[in-house]
Amino acid sequence: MMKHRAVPDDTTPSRAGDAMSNMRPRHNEDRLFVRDGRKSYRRSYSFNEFRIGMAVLLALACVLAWVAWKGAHPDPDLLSSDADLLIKGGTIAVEGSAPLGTSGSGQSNSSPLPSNLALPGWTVGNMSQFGWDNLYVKINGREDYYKSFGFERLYFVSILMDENQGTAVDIELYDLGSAANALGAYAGERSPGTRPDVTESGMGHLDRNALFLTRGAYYLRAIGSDESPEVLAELAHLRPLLENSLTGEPLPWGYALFVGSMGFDPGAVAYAPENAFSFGFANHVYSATLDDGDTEVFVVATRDGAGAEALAEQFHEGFMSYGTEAGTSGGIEWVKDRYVGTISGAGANGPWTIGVHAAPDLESAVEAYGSIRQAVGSLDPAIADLVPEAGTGEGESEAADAPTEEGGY
Amino acid sequence: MPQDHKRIERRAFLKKAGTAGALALGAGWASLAPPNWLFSLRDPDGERGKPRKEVIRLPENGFAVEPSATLPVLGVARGQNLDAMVRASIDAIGGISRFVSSGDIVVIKPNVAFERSAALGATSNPVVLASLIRIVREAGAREIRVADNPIESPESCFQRSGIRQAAVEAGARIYLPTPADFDTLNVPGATWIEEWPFFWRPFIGADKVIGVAPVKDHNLCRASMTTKNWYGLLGGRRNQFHQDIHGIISDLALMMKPTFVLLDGSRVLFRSGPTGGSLADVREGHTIVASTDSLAADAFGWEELLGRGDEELPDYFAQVAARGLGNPDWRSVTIKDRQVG
Repeated sequence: MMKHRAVPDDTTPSRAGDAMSNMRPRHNEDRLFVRDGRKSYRRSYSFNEFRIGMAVLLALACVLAWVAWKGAHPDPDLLSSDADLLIKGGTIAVEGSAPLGTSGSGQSNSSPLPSNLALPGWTVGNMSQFGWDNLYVKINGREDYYKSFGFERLYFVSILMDENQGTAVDIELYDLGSAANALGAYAGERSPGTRPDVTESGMGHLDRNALFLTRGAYYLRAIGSDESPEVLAELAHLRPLLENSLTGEPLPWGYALFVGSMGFDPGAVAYAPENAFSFGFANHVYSATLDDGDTEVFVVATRDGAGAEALAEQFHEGFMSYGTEAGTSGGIEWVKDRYVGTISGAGANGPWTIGVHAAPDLESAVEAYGSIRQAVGSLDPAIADLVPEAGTGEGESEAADAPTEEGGY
Repeated sequence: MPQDHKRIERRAFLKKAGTAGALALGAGWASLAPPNWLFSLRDPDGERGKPRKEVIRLPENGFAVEPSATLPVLGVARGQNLDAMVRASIDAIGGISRFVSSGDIVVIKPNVAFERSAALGATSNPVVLASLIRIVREAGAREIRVADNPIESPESCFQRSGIRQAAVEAGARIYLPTPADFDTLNVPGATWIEEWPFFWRPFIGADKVIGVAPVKDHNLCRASMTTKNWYGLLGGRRNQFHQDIHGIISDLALMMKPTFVLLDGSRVLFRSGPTGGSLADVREGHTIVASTDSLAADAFGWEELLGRGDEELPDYFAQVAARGLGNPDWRSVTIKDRQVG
C-alpha cells in the first residue's frame, strides 16, 4: 500500500510547515542569494581556526622569502655555456643576439675554431652555426654560392673590440666537405690579380680588411669592420692561429697539375664542382687562366679513356651551341664563338678530358692544348681510379656512359 | 477529464501553416542551393566556413606623387660632399616640397640587410640616410620612420651598419621588426606575393615612402639596387623566392610604388655581393641618384656605377618594364646630372 504525503494547502499552513519555516535562514542569510558576498555566515571563529590560518600565512611568507632569495642568488650552473649545455638533441642553442643556428643534418657539431681568438682588448662573442636548411638566415642572397661548393656547415663568431663595439672582426668558417670545394670557393671570391700564399695544406691571403684562408675542407673569411691598426693586429693574430689549428690536407691533384707541372700561379687556378662554362654536364672541372687573362685550360678526371672521349664530345657540342666549326688541329675539332670570336675545344688523353676555352686565336689555342696534353701525361693514372661513380649533373642522361667524378682529392 | 482543445480559426491555421512552410522552404534553399546562388549557405568543402583572413592593401597608386611633364625623372649628383649631393639630387627632380608636405608621416626604407659595417658596401650609407632624414624634416614631416626587416638579427644589423645611430641622431624613429608587426598584404596581380606577410606596422598611417638603396653586385640577380630593396619589407620564408629571383623583383615593383627613391652610389659593392666582406670588393662611387622611376635609377646604376653597360640587363628589368612599372632605358628619360662640391 502506498503512502501519500499530505500536501499542505498554500492557504492553510500546517504545523509541519510552520516548523520548516522556522528552520529557514533569515532572508539576508540565505546561502543561495547572499547579497553581500563578503559577509561571513559565522559571527566568530574558533581560536584553533585562527592559529591554523596564521600558520598558513607564515608558510606562504616563507615561500615568498625563499623565492626572492633564490632569485638574488642563482645557481651558476644555470648560466654556464658548456658544450653539453649548448647542444641538446641536435639543436645548437646560441645565446645572445646572434641568429639561432640549428643543425641542418640533425648532428651536433662542436666548432673547429680555437678558443683563444681574441687579443687583449677584444672579446669573443657567442658562436652560432648554420646548416644547409638555415644558411639563408645568415647570408640570404649568397647562400647558393656556397651550396654550389658542397656547403655542409657555417660556423660564425664575432670578435668585438672592448673600447668600441662597432669595431669588429667576423669569422665565417665554411665546412665545404672537400679541399677541392674549399679552394674553389676561395678562388671564386679572390680579387683578380691577388697572389695567394700557398702552403702544403692550403692557401690564404690578407686583402685589406679581410683574411681569407683554406685548410682542408674549410674555407675561412675573417672580415674586419675597417682597416684600422687594431683590426689589422687582430687579423695578424688570427692568421697563424687558424692556420695551425684548422686541419689541413694536401692540395688536390688539379693544383698539383697546374701549379706543380705547368707552373701556373696558384691564384690562376679555379675549380668548379658543377656547371663549368655554364654547361650542366661540366662537373668537377679544374681550370687555370693564362697570362692573357682570358684563355683557360681545363681538365676533368674520368674513369677511363672512353669516358674521357665521351665527355670531350659533350664539351664540343656545348661549344658548338654558341659557335661554329673552326677547323681541326692538334687532334681535335675547334669551335669559334660566334659572338666574341674566341676559340675553344676539348679532347682526351687517357682518362683525362682536357681542353682550352676562350683562346684569342687558333694558334694560341693549339699551343695551350698541347701544353696541357703533355702535362696530364705526367699525372698518376691512379687518380682516375679514385673517381667515384657518375651520378649528378644535368646532361649525363644524354650520354649515360660519359663518366664524371664526384668529390675532391 | 474534459478535453481542453482550443479551436483554431481556418484563417489563423493557414497563416501559421504558410509561415512554417516558408521557413522550411527558406531553410531548405539556404542549405541545399548551390553555393553561388543567392542566400545559399551551402558549404560543400568547408571553405566558406573558415575564418576570413585579414588582408591589407597598400594604396592603389602607392605613395607616388603626380608625375610631372617638365621635371626630370632622374636627378644625378656627383661629388664628394654627400649631404650636398643628396640635396642636389632631390632638388633636380623637383625638390623635397614636391614630395613631402607639412604633417606627413614618411617611411624611409634603407637596406640594412646584413651585419656589416657601412664601409663594406652591403648596406645603405648612414651619412646618406641622415642627410635624407634632415631634408625630410625640413619639409615639415610630422614623423619619419626608418624601417627594414634584415636578413640577420635586426638589432645587430642596425647597430653595426651605423643606420641606427644615424637615424636617431637625425631625428627619425626606428622600427625594428617583431612577429606582431607583420600582416598579410594583398598585391593584386603579383605572381609570388599576391598574399604574403609584410612588415606593416611602419606603414600604418604613412603618407609617403622613400627607398634608399646601395648599389650592389648580387649573386643571383646580378644587381641589387632600389627595386630589390623592397625585399626587405617581406616576412615569412622569403628565401624561397630566390628560385625565381627576377620574378619576385618584378612583384616587388608591383607591390611598392614609392614617393621617390634614392640610389646610394656613394660606395659600390661591385663583386661578392650581396654580402661582400672585403674592402677590395668596394669602390667609391661618388654619386647619388634621386628618381621617381626606380627602374630607370637601377638601369643607371647598372651601367654607370656597376660599370656593366657592355652586359645585358638582368631579366627583372624586362619583367618590370613589361608591367609598365618603369623604364629600363634610362637614357630616354629626362635627366639632370650635376657636379656638386
